[in-house]
Amino acid sequence: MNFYEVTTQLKKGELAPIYLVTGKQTYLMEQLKKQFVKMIPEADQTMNLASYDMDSTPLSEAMNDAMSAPFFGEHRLVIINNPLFLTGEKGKGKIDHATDELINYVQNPLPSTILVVMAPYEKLDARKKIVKMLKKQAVWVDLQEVNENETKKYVGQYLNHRGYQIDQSVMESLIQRTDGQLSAIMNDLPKLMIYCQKEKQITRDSVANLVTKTLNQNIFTLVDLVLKKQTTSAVSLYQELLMDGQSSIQINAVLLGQFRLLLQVMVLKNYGYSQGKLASSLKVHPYRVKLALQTSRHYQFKDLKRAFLGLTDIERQLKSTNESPELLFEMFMLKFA
Amino acid sequence: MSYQALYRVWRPQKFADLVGQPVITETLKNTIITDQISHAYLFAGPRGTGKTSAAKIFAKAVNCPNVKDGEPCNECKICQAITNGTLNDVIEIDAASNNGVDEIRDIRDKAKYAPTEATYKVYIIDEVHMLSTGAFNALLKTLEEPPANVIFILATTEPHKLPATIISRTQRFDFRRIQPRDILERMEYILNQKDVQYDDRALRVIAKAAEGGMRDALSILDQTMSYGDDVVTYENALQVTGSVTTSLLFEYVSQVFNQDVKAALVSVRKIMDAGKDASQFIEDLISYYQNILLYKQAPEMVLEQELGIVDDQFKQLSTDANADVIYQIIETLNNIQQQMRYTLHPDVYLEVLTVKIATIGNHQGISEGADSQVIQNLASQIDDLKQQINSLKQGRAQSVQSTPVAERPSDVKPASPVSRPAAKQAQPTNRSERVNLSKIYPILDHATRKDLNRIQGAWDELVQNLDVVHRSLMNITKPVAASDSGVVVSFSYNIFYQKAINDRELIDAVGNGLDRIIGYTPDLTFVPEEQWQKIRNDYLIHKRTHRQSDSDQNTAPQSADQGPKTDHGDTPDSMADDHAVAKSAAPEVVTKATELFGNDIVDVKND
Repeated sequence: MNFYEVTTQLKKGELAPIYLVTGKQTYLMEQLKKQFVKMIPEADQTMNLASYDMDSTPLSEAMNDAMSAPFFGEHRLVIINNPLFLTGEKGKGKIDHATDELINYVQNPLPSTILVVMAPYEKLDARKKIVKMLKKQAVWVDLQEVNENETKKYVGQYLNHRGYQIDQSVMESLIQRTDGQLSAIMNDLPKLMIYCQKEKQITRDSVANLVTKTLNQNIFTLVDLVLKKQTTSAVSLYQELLMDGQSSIQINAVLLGQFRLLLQVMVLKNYGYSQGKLASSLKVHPYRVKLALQTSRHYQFKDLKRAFLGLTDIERQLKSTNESPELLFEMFMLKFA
Repeated sequence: MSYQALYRVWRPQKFADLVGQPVITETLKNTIITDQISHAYLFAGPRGTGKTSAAKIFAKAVNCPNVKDGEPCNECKICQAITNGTLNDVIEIDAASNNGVDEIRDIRDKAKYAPTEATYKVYIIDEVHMLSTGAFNALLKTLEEPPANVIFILATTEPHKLPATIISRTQRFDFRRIQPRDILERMEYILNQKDVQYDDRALRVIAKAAEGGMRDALSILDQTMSYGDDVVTYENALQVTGSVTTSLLFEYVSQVFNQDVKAALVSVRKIMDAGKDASQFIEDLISYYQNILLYKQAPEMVLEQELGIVDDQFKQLSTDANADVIYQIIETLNNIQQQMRYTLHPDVYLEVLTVKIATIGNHQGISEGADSQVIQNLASQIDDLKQQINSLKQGRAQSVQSTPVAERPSDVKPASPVSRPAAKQAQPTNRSERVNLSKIYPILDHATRKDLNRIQGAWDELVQNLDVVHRSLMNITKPVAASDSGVVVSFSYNIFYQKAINDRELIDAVGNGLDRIIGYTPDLTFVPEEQWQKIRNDYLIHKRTHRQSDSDQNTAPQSADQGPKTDHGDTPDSMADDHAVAKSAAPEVVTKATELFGNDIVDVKND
């Protein structure tokens, strides 16, 4: 089941005794949690609603709660957070979780209790018995990565609903800066709305000033700026990155990797490699290859080569001398441009 | 009251005072106006950009009963209590020293209780990245299910050290480095308020040294003020920041560009004597050179970052400068900077450095000089050839007509317009290495093989007896002609020739040396080696034409007043045509030879 199906079901008041929610979409998970909480009348919430964090509370406590009948009211809602024991990972957990109790419960759930297991993980360990049981018995809600179009639609609707407008181009830059992460966007929207509350129009300026860029995004921008030979912007972006605490070697490595890919793609393309062949022989994600193919079309081999060699030189100097990375990068840009 | 540092006295008390973060202050004000207060904020940014100030103002604005347009009144009891840090409901915690789980648990427990006086309980946690992992987890719990009427404001300089789970539960504001211009304005404002006199340039120096931190700027300003009895002067600002004046830097850099090693060394001494730190000086130098490079490519960036250093001199320098030389210079500077860490005598390194970077330009100069020299030679050869072809054609036309005497006036004239432009072209190209012919010719007039041999014999000994600097300069020289009263010395490289002719000390030293060895002081004349051949040939031709004009002054006055600088080959040619049969047989042979082989090959010896 996906997010929308569950929400419509909940709105209709159709409840299942056990839900398993997986996926890394924190925002959607938060929303879902609110939906579940709404199912319990506000007056009953103190008694019939409990949320347990498996990082600090043993599972049996939650199970005890789940197995008791609701105090007045119709339902009792028990939310289990951070069930690391469902994954293959080993936490530092000092707490022993009696997973057998959960298995028993899953086999005979109490009809008056709604048990929600919130697993904010990419993958569960499907070999574990408890996971198998849950997937079989519970309503499994998988919160998948929201694609770009849906994100845009969602954000646009969210803003419209609150009386705000956003231009297509501003939306693009918002998506770009957040890497299209819905959670990140939703986290930043309140700020934007507050800043633009007079005009009711999200401006480009506000996005540029209030939305924090992700590292990936920054690196792509940096590669672009380097190739476009925009010394000023490239250098100031580099300074920003360093200020954010990115290590210079890391930035350089990412830059270098990007240029290397561009060069490889360009050379192999001339040998008649197709996109798929490129991806498999370079062992790179096809999407990256696609992007690289697009990018490399705009640039000359000579330029790419020069940039690559220049960056290699920086790398060497970063590791063998004490020169400041800012200076090295500035020098590189000056020479390259 | 005891003395309080400027940055404490002038800590902003309302959003309008918060400099350089317009978007953030606007958003925070709107938050209060529209009452959309989030329960947790994260203020991230470099030091001195207003994080803690913004947090305190926000705490006031949230609680102040007479808030107006989102600004706190700063007059009510609550505002003043917050300013003084005495309000129980606004709690400032330095996470650097309270980084354990227990402290955070303590917060968590206390956060449950409603505020006593104010509307909101505000926890300001400074340097939040210092918390331990356990503490973060404890904090996370509180942020996940925040009690009502509690606001957490986390401030940090290193947001990347915070767990993503914390960041995603806060409203994050990124404070930027404050632009030098904003810092400058704020300092001006403060000084005007305090009624302190200041030098505009001093504030620029400080604004630049602060690197975007207002607190740093005000601390430096404070120091500068106490240094100079409440007057802010340029010199004091430089002293306090330890930077070298831009004018001194400019002086040094331009001396290096002009390869004036001596003057540059004097400048270095001056700078060191003024008590500047050597490595600071090198850093200043590097940034200066870098600015020159940057200015060539992106002038607006330099203008924005460097208040004040961009004047006309700087612009001139950056347009004149050769980028390749600067790259080499910066590289050298970097190397020296590293070596300097391991030495107790930084000034020695500085001096070596000075000589080094001045000679970087030199090498460049030599290779360029050589190139242009070659081109120049080729150009003059082509000119020669052209003229010879011209005169050949004319000679042929004349021989057909065979009326030499009648033709003469119309014959000389067409030749000279050709020669004149050629001479003019040649002049500007070698203006830098113009040789003083008036000094050479008299020497050549009396030159003998014997004198030359004597000087040549003494030369090695002479060079050995010079001091190191002069010796290295004279090693590449040789005497090429000598009379009993003068010597012509040729230099292998133009660049050293130029240096030597202006070096009084060197000329004196050589003169003295010769006096000691051969017993008298001849007149010294220097020529660059490349030009020696040409000078010699010119001289020979000049001498010949003189002899000719002596013998027939009335027949050929034009040739006599053309002087030594006229293009060779041409005048004698036309004359030779005129007088070929009538006058001297020898010049005709010579001119024929030069016609055939060119001046550079034919070596005329008068016996």
